[in-house]
Amino acid sequence: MLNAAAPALEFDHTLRSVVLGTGAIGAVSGALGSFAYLRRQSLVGDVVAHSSLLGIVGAFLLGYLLTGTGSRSLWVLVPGAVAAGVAALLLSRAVTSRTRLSEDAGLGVMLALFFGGGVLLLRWAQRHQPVIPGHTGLDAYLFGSAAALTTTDLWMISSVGLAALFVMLLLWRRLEVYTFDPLFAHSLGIPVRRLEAVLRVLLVTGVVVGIHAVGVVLMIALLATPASAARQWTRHLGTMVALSSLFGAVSAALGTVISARYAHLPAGPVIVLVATAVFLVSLACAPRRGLLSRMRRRVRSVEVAGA
Amino acid sequence: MHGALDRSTRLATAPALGVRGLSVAYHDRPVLWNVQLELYRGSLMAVVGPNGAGKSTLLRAVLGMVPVLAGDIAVFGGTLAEQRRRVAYVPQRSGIDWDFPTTVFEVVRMGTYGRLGWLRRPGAAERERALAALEMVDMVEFAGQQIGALSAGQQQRVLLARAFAQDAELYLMDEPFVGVDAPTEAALVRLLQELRDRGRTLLVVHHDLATVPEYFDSVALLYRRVVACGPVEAAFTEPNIAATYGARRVGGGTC
Amino acid sequence: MSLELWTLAIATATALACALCGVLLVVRREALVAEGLSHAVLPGIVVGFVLLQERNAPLLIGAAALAGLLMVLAVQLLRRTGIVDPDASLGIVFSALFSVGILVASQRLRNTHFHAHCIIDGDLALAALDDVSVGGTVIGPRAFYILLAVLAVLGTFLALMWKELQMMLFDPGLARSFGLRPGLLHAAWLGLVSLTAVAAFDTAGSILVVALMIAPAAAAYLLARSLFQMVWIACGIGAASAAAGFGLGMGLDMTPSAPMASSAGLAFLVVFLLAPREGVVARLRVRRAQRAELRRQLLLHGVGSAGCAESELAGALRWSAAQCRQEIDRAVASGHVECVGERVCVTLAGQAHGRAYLARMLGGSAGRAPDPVAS
Repeated sequence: MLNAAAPALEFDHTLRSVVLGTGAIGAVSGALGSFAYLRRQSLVGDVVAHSSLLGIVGAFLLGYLLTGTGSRSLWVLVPGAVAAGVAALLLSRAVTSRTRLSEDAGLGVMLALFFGGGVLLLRWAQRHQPVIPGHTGLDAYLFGSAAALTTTDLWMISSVGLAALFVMLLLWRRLEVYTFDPLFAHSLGIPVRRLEAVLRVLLVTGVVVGIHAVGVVLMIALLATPASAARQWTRHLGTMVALSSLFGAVSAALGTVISARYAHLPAGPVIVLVATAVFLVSLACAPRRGLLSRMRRRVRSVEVAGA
Repeated sequence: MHGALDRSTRLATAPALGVRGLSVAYHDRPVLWNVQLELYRGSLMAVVGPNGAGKSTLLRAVLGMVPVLAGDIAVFGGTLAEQRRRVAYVPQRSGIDWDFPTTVFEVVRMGTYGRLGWLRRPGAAERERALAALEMVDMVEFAGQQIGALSAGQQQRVLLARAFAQDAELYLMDEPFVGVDAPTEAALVRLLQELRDRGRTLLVVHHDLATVPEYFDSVALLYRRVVACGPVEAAFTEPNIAATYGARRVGGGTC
Repeated sequence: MSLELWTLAIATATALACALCGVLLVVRREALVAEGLSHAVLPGIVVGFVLLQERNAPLLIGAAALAGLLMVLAVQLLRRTGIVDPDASLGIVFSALFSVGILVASQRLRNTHFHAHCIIDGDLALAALDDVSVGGTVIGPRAFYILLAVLAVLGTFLALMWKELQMMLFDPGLARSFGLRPGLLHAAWLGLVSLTAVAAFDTAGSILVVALMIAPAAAAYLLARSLFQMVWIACGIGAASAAAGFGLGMGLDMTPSAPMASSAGLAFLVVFLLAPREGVVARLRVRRAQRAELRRQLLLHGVGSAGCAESELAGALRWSAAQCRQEIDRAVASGHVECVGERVCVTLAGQAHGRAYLARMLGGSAGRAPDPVAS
């Protein structure tokens, strides 16, 4: 990806659709990322993202073995990614709940198994003789390559994301109560096991959608950074999710535009840095929680004490 | 015909909570064994016992949150599923993320969600009930506050208000006085006693043995099994306390 | 020594250094700090490389390790504000640093071997070619000696600070009361982890570092009975994964890093399933015995001292009739209950068995009827 210069994009129809597409991707990941943030699962999202590589390459190779041609159709790769992500999530849960190992260690081992396995398969596919058609595009999943997405891809990925957002809105109040206070939610008769499963699938979906913009390695930034920024501005869950979605969309779209303006700027890292900038501004400037407003308060209280 | 009449009288007169022969296991090791408990309507009962006695597990078993190995739990003479709306639960304050982006009012309004149905939006009626519940715990002026800005005592008041907004008849509370300052504790206890006097039933996991006689009218001493259960003067005796706490009891009164 | 052997030697040295780092990270329950560090050292490495135009310069390694330590400090600061979730802080900081590294690399190192492959899975073969010579004689690849030096530093630190580290891990309060500074010791340790991440990154990329730090140590955690044992087991598993991964890499004709990471992961999986005490299979066996005992006790308790009819029993215990029959047959076989006509009764042996179980499960003196002597 770094060597192969991204095809230079003009401000034309293609760029507009790519910017809209990555914006939609950022919006979905940002919204679903706030639930991951509030459930303290940001690093879970990181590991799920890394792990999905195994599913993507595995699905690609399976398609090749079955049909004889390599298909990078998202209808093949996305289910593979979701399956691997869910598998990594469940296996790390099993490790954490059945041993004395901490959640961190359970997740770290999944990196070895799923990401290690994913890269292994990826390199194998890339070196395979005879050459598997389409294998070159798989590299894009490491650091993302929004420019390589076709309009069909964008439609597919946006509709998956919108479906996830629809489920989120449909279950909104149950998710709110459950995320805030799982025991209380249980006592109200909410089927918490099913809700937990839904939340897992939503997390994996948010990740799988997002990796198309920033790649598996940097995915955590699209999940955690907009949510952390949004958290600073508000005291309502709804506003936080909306803001996080907005920050995600703006970061992804702006990052794509910037990377298209200059040569040899891969989109993924630029998107991440835009999101980081939004986060830093929020951290400093947000009313009440922000560092500046805290400092001002502290100065004032010192003045009052001195007076 | 006869059966239906039987059932309705049973529902009208049964104790608020009847637990018979309840056994619960965690990882295939028993946590509660053959627990018997009767909680009459209009009583305020403490559940006391050392750490690991299964106090929280008892509340969760009543609420159907942990699988039951054996035994019966009757809520107002019926099953929990039939009677769930008449039961409110106050979990431990420490289990909640107080940095969650929500306000005092929104938390208390969550108490109305159980009756609202999950797709309808909360409206004016829900707002009224939430505000009335805040009024009960004297927290109306904090309605718009972010919950993270509250003191421990205020947070506990909010959790109680959420339960009051459920407008239930049986309240199950897990350590509602932990981390609460003395004046707040006194005010909350008065509130619970008031509720009892208005015919509500309360089962409260409590950690301070010294205040049991002053706060509660009945008590259950629990260590995996119920050692004693009944009016404070009959059940809360030295031998019973010693049998519950064994060698674990340190110093006088508290544990 | 042949090129293959040198490659294997480098891989093994990497695995050993990583395993040592992993032990303390896993025990301190901060394994994913390794994930953060392995990403965060990238900008240091890239910038150092741009400035020095050399891969394995000691200066570069030191600078990059410092960058890793800076990340740790930034995360600490962010956590201390208390307004950002700790996990998210780590993610935000390392993803931003990693992005900076990639952008610099894609701007300045486009036409070098420093490409995306190298960032992900390193270039062990290339590292093995970069020989160093002393007094005119070639003594082997530079990377090997660098890793050996890192290994020596780690080993020395562990040996010298062993008691202090143990105290820091298991009782920071006590350590402080002895005048130790657990915070400082921890920072020094993370500095060494960062150093290892840099040295290993250069030869083997970022996945290998995380995988080889966490997977062997996590597996060792499930096998070892002491911290000391854990160190050796982790090193053994690390070295074995290095060898297996190296062989697999040779067979598949690819850089051995991804095969090594997968081998370490698989080694963990095998241990997770089969470890003698903590493995899933061993635990299932214990659980099954506990469950059978629990059912027996429920049966004894359900029958009660007066005995009862079999037909009532199933309902009271929420069992199916067939399940109830099966349990009764088993209990009859072991002599705990007996059937008298339609009725089931507990035998004397069964009563003793029930009392012993309850005394064991429900704990010592507590929970028994009041003792008349004590009152």
